[in-house]
Amino acid sequence: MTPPDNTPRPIPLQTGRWPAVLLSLAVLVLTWFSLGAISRRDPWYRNLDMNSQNTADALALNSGLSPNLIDQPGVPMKYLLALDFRARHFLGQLPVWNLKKFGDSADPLREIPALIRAGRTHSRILVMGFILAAAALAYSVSRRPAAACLTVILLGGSSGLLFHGLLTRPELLCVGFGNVLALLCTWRGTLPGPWLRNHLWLLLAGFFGGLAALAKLPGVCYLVLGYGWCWLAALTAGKNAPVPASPRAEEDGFWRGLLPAAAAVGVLGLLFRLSALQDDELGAVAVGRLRFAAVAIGALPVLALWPGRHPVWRFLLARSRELALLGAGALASFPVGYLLLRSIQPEPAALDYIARTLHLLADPAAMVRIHAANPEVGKVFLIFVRQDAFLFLATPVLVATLLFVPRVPSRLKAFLVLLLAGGVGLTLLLSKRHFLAQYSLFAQAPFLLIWALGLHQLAEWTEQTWGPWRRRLALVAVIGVVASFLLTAHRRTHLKYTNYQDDAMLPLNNFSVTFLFDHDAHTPTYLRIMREHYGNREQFVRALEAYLANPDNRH
Amino acid sequence: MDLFLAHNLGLLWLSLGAARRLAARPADQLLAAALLGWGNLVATGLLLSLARRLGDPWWHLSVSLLLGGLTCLLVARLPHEPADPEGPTDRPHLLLLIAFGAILVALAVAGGAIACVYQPNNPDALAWQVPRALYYLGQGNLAHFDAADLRQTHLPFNHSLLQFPALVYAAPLQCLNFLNLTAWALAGVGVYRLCRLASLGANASLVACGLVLTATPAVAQAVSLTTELPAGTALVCALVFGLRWRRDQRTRHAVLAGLALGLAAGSNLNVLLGGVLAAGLFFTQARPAAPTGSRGWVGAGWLIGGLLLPFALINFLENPGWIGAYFSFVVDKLPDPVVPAWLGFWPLPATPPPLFALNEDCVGFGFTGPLFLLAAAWAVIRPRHPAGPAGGLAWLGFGWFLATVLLMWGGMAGARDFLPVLLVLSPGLAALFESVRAGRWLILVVALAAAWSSTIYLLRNNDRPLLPLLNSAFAPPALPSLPLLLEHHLSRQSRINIDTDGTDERILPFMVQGRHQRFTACRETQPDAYNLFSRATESRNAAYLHPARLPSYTLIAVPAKPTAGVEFLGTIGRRPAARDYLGLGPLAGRTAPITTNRSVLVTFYHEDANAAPDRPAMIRFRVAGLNPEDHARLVVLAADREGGRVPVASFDADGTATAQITAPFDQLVFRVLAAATGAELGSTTIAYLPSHDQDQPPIDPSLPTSTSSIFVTDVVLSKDPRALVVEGLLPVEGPFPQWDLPYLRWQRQPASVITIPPTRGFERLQLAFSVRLNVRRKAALDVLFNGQRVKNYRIDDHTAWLDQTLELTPQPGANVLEFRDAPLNNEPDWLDYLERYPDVKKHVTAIRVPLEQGAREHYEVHGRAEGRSIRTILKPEPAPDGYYFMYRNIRLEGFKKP
Repeated sequence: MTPPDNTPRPIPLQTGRWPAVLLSLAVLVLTWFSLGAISRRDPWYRNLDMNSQNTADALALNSGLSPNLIDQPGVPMKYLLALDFRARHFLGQLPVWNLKKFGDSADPLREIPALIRAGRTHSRILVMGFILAAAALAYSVSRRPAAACLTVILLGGSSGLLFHGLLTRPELLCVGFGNVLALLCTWRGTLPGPWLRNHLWLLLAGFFGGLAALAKLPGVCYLVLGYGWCWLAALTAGKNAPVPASPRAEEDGFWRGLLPAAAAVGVLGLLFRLSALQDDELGAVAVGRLRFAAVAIGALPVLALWPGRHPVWRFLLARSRELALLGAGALASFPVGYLLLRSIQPEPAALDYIARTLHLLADPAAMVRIHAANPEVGKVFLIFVRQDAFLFLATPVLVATLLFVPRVPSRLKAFLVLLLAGGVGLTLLLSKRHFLAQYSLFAQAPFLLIWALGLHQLAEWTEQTWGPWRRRLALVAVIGVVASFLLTAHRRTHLKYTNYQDDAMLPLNNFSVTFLFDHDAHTPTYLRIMREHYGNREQFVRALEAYLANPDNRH
Repeated sequence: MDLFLAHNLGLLWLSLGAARRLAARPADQLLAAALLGWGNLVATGLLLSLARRLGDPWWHLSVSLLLGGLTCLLVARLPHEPADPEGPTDRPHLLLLIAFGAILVALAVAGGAIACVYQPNNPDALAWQVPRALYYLGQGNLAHFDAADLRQTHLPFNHSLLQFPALVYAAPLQCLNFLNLTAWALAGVGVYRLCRLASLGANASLVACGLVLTATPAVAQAVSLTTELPAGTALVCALVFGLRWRRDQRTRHAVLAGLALGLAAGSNLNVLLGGVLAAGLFFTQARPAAPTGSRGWVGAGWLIGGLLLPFALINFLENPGWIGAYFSFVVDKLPDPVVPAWLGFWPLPATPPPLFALNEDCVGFGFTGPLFLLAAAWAVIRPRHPAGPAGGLAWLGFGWFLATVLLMWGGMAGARDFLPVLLVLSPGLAALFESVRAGRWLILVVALAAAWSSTIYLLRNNDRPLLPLLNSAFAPPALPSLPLLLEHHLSRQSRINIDTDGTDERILPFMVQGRHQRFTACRETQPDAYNLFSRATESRNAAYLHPARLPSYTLIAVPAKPTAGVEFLGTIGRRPAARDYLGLGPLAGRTAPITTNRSVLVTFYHEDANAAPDRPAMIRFRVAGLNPEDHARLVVLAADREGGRVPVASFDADGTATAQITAPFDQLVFRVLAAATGAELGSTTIAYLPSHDQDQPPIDPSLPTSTSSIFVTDVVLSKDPRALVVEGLLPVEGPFPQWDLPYLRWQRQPASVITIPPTRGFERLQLAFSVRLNVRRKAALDVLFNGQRVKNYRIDDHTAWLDQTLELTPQPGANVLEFRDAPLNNEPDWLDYLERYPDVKKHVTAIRVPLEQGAREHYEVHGRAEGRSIRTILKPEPAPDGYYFMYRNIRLEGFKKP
């Protein structure tokens, strides 16, 4: 559980490193304005499908209604967007923050652009948070501020990430919670230290993994990734792990299992509430699976009754405890998610939303049937590779190289392998389903983290093995590559964004009109409001064309 | 279910947390945790019973977890137990461990699969175990209720309290199966520890443990709901902690032994006997000479008293002569065990004719039983008597075996009653294994034979076979199904009061039809609950002087009854064990009647069943279904042969009255009279002596309502109307609560035909039916009897049921009843037009247009002006996909001459 510390000590920020910090800050600012510039010049009606649906769902959440169609969980994203709308409204920046205000408006169509722009700004803020969290992860792993700065710089050039700052989609939070925050907490939870601190970190890791799953279904895979790290961390920890000896220590070890049990009771409590009100929404299969998961996670730490003496048994016992903590954190995200929804919604709506979300998470068979498996996984995977050819080809080479560098700690090597496996694995999983351009984030984020951590390690290695000229030459080459990567980010992002969905032409296509007016994904209240204001679809199209005839209304 | 899981999870943690402070070894911790958990549930049940809150889930959860937390806090003050002096040097042989481990794990997995799938359906669970717990929860306390089966009230209830969490949170009944499965596993742990504490080797202990767990009765009880296995396991725990106290003299062990003994003795009367013997033997023979921790036994004594006294106290308060009453009940009312004790210990198969049911009541111990007895005898009589606990336990087990056989005369005790004895005898077997090297292979062969027998039992037993689960996804239904009408009524009620005079009656299937239902057992009609009456079919209209002196019941049909009365719901079983079930809805006085519930139920009981026939008759009358809103009076008269009538009792509403009839009488006359006018609304009679005139056997004997009816059946609701030939109706479907539709049968062709076979004395037929449309908006229905149209109904509301009753006169021989879709709209009969005007037909044929079209065009262009006429015909409304009508009942009642 608490392996000996073979990670580097943290290095304080020194004066000589301020340029890197300043540069990363500059990249952050540049990224913000770059995204802002693209967004400003872009018509509000581009990418209307997810933008309008998530905007309408956020308005519904603020109106005490649950979203109508749940084809993916999206709970954290919609919840945060709803909070954003509330905050902006109370700051006087946004007149409409719920469906009542939307319906009260003389011309609801005129309110939509402002809402979509607010949503884009909200996503930009999340992108900034994502970059900073990734920097924190890089710092935790390497204990070097330079690695964190390099992470900021590299992610500032990630078109896959920046793309998500231009629209409102759940993938950003899925990867942010799963690949960044969950891994960060797992890393911290497997460091040597007091058991309570480690347990809380692992619980938090599981919680972020759960939030990743609540954001998008593939987020469940990050829990596997986190647990994989628990095994790797233990295997790379060395053989002189401390063994608790006294009865007191074993007694404490037993009671530590209460955290998972408490989380399990929380989930069972939520299921009880759901069974009282929303039995049909959740479904018997999902209820059975969630109950089994809760009981298994809650009872797993009871294995501490048999501390055993054999080291293999003790090793397995520690892994089972970590599994229980990660699982408990993930399970805890469900009742916590419900409570968060409850903070802005009445109970029936919050229960309805969480029930349908849990149904999708615990029994995704129906959704998987809709998204039929792609028989040509390799072909789709190659599209991913073609899109980010350098990253897909060079990152494994970098990891392989680092594996042979003796100075790189084995713990870090293991972590890099895990990141690589996670990136490739998730890309394969997404290829199995459907390739969509917005999913490149799932590969780019772990690969760029590998580069940030790996380049730093290579730099340290070259300092000791290469001559100064050779080192300078390499530094210039790296700076050149990174700079070009950074400087082309704006163009690559813009290209990716405009190519993703070509619906910026006028008159608006039927698909966009449907999402604005009468898509069955919207709540009945939204549809009623639109009908009451604009009558039928033809009348709405005329009103929309009249509105967009003025170029000032397009951006 | 979620609260149940949360409660169990919380209790698991709190019990284990406390147990870790009380014992050092994991096996002892497990046993202690199980005892603490069970003790917690018993204490919770007793406390909530005092507050009359037994059925409240939140109270149950809160009090139990609070008690668990307090226990944890209490034991947290105790010092840690030092490490167990038993060293790890003596471990079971690896091969032995793998062999027994594999067998036991396989049995546990099989048992788990069975427990997951089947609802508890052993006779005990169906007749008294689960119903008892449900009645307690329904009434909110542990007081006696009106039960004819005294096992529901007079037996120790600690095992019932263990079932409460599953029932109070409305968890699936399968959860109850895991009680015995857990007890089975803990029995293994307990036996192993008992043998080890008796200074026996690890190999011998493991063999004894394996033999106990593979004994067929142990495996059989592991997958059913019985008291012997959990109580026996608790007794083993008591012995384990008693031996721990003997070795270490720690107060905690004495307290745990007391807790275990209280739980065991408070669950099963036979184990109570064993517990008394064990305690006596322990304090006379096994107690250390100068014990230092005797104070612990004071606490243990309090615990034993606390766990045993409530049951005894309630019994003495409710029925001071309960011991005699219960003994008489067991002797007189309960059937003898299928496999008596001597047969259970006979190793060779002895199949009782004619059919051998394979369940936990019918399996013997095979070779295991004699082996254990042999080992005990060896331990008792061998010259070098072991001074250790194994010898003492052999004495205890052997003595207990003999005491049980003597006290219960052998034949009354079933083989399953001796399972706890087997657990106690296990150290003797381990000692035999350890001492007699030559017999080891024999013991291992017996163990393999036992494992084989257990596997066969699990695969092929009658009630819960594993084989269907392995062969397909289909699992046979565990509980017997009920007649549709019973299911329909019971599934919709939230409170049900059951009034039954049956003993050993399998009442549980009636209690699992709905969710969140509360059950009470009261002999008075409960106005706000659905009242279910259960009466022996033999007692229906039985004569007063019936040879068996049965209580007799009769239904008085009151056709003009203005409020709902008692409804005949069905008959289950075969004579003479068949039982009739009748129902009275909640708030019957404010509910309008339907065709089938315009009846009053009268039951009368012989107050002194053993009195001579010539003594004055003391009769208790029980009336149900007579509501004050009926403004009617039920008068009971004793009539003599000369026609004289003496009033015996009268009722204005449901109730009970006892009357004495001093003069001889020929029959009892029950008359329902209008209170205002005195007009007779209904009547029936019960003869003094049984009549030997056999009536015409009814077509369907399940629904009689009048003494003159010779058959009654419902083509929709009756389970088996095979005597009638029904054509044109689909099988019964439903109910469909989501569409507010009950059980129904579709007519998917224009006509459906019911043929009544020739019936002697058939004078009148009453037809009552309820029909509805679903797809069509409107339609018409013709009812034809023997080819003659009786009535035509027009149905304009497709959502409303049309309820009709017709009185028909049958013909000799077979009678045919027909429901036929009838024409609805008038329209011109164009073919008739062409037939009447051949010139027109010739013209239409010549121009080669469809006949009807040509006729219409001719009439509109020329025919009308020429003064030709057209006739109209009726045209049926088309039925999409052939969905013509749905029926929720078609009730046919045949009468003879009054």
